[in-house]
Amino acid sequence: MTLSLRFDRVVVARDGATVVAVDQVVVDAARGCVVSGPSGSGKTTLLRALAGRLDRAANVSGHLVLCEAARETRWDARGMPPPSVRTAMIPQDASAALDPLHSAARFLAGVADDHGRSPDDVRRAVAAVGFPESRLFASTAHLSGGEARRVLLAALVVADPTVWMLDEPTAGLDDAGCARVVDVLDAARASGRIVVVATHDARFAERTGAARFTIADGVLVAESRSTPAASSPPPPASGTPVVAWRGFSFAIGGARRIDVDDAVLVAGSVVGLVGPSGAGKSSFCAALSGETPAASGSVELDGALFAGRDRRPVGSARRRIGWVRQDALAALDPRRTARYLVSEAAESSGAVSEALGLAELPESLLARTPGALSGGERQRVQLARILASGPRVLLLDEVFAGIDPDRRARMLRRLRAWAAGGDRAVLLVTHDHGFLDAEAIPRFVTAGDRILATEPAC
Amino acid sequence: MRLLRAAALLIAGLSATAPWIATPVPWIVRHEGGWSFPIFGVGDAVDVSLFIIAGAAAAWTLRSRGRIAVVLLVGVCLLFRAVGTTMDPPPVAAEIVVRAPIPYDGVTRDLSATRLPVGISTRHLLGTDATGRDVAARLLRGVRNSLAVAILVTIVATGVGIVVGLLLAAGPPVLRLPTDLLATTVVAIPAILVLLAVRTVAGGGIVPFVAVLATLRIPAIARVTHASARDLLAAPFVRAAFGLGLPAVHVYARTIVPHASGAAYALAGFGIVGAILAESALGFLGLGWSSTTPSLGALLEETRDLPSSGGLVAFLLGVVLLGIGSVAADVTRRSARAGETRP
Repeated sequence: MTLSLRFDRVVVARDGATVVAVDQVVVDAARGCVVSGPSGSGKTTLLRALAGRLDRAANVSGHLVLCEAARETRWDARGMPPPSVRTAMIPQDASAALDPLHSAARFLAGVADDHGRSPDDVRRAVAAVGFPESRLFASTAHLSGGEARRVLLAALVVADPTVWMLDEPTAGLDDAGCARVVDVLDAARASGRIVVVATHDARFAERTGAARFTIADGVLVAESRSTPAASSPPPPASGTPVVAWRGFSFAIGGARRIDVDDAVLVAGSVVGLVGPSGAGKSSFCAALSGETPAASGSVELDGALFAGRDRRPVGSARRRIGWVRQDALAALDPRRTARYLVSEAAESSGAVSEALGLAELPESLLARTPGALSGGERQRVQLARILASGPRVLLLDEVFAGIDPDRRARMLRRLRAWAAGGDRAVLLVTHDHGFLDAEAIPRFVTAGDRILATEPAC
Repeated sequence: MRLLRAAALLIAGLSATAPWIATPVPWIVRHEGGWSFPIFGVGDAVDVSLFIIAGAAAAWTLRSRGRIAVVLLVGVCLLFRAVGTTMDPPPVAAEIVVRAPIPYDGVTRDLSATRLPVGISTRHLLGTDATGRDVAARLLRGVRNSLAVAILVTIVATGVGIVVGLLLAAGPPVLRLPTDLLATTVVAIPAILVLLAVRTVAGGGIVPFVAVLATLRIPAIARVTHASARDLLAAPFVRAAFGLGLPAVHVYARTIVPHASGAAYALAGFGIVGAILAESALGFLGLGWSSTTPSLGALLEETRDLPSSGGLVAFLLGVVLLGIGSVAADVTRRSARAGETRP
């Protein structure tokens, strides 16, 4: 019996706004899946949608399908799982889920009763999760957070549903507890259950060996399994150096200072910079482009000092490092049309048409103001605007976030040609390892208060 | 309100054409050689430019059909003026066929017909004043002169105010304290005192008068522009424009000014009415920019003791002020809407 769970363009919305979207994802019983992502990104909402336990303000569109060999069972129009599919979920706030008037033993006995299990099943489950038997008859009000979580996990083992959902199952658990959760989940997967876990705990997620997903900008995407150290570092300088930084560091948020490993971008290179939000990626762009002062070190462009601790580029020099900002709506004058914005800083009309081609901007969009464009279109207008100004180095700050994968791949191909054709360099800032993996792009990574160039591979 | 605005537009339109409506020069004359149109020879460059400006303003405020009509009318008048005077033969034994509706210029005195009340003479619609000048002609020309001065004051004040505000925002912070002190001082001194002082030094005339009134209005406009510009300098799209390496002058002119000047334009709407009031008050006190050219303040002063026309003139002036205020508010609203952007 091979079970799998399929998400088919599932969108969970609350009050009309999309909370989390899943395009096409299949979760195999043998692997299970772990969803991570920053808090508030919609992990719990996704689990609740799966369990059919969303609040009234939320609704689900698209299809949730359980595939069993050739048979498909769908969640109904109201988002409820079909009766043949038993789902169970351990909520994040474990203590609140237990009735404080009852003991753990009574709670588990109730669960066993509901699902027609024997007291032996309960005993085995309690042993499996590592819950101390001495605490079985204590009121659940006196259990610690970790103990309460283990009671719930035991209940899940007893109930043994088809789809197991666990929300932050390792919060409050120590290393050994974490290992037991992994064991329990392994056993469940071995017996053909579908396990879906939402967690912040990277260590735990790593141990489960499940398919890993992350919610980025409200979309569930596959997370790259490769660790930063394993990803290929930026190529060593072979070719004409375009831009290089040495001893470079910059301040973010006043007190924090980010040190950047020395690196050189050579002509024609496309290099990524990956890190979670808040790691200082955009601030790095600002410091590199000379918008904000560097705390130390220097940036050399074409062998000449461009920006540094005591030096910020002014006037037309600034266009040589073009920073395509993350928030395109804010970065474009709301009064001007796309045509004006693209040609405003252009070197020539030829540069404009070349930039429009690179950014795939059709003539029909050019008469619109930024407010009348979609997010992706706006971002392409900003890209064209900066390309037309003739930069030597292009900093793309999460530029592809609102752009569909096909176009993204096409644009990247053209940008590569653009960089190679004019001895230029592109730095692609993103939090998406997967995209860089797919395109085989070497990358810098953020690590705490550093930006690592990683050790040269060759 | 619509009636009031229509009345105001009518009076403003009439006053813009005052040199041709209130003039002793006949419109159409027949003589032995045929017809001629002496009216097209009337008016100097200032008259014509005011006429064009009024036409442009009317065209801007009106809806599409009215706009076309106004533009056509102004165009035809200018065409006739250009060709009409050259084909004008010498009037020999001329006979006036059509005379101007108010066949007086409001300046020439007629001591045989002083203090005529309203309704006695079909030619003197609003009677005459103590020296026999036609009140209707003086009213039209007075509205025109006062409105022109008020608009001039507002344009100068807004232009200079915006530039000063931008300089403050762009310039070194050291400039701010002295400029602020200066602005506060300027605002604190009553206009009459300044004007009296300037008159004793620079004499009368339109230039010192406009300069003083405009100077008094600059601080407010400079301050609101400064505040908006300072916010804008931190706005991402302005920083991005600088980041593109565009010349600072270009960024200021094309990106900052259109956004920063909205508040200044809103002030200008009120400013026109304020400037008319200030001009009238000073004219009433005899501190106007000219003692011979008719203006609203002087007119009020001259007609206030006339038996019937005095009250009527004051009433008409009130209508003009209200109407202009309403039109100005409307224009300001419209330009504010034009600056709005969709989310």
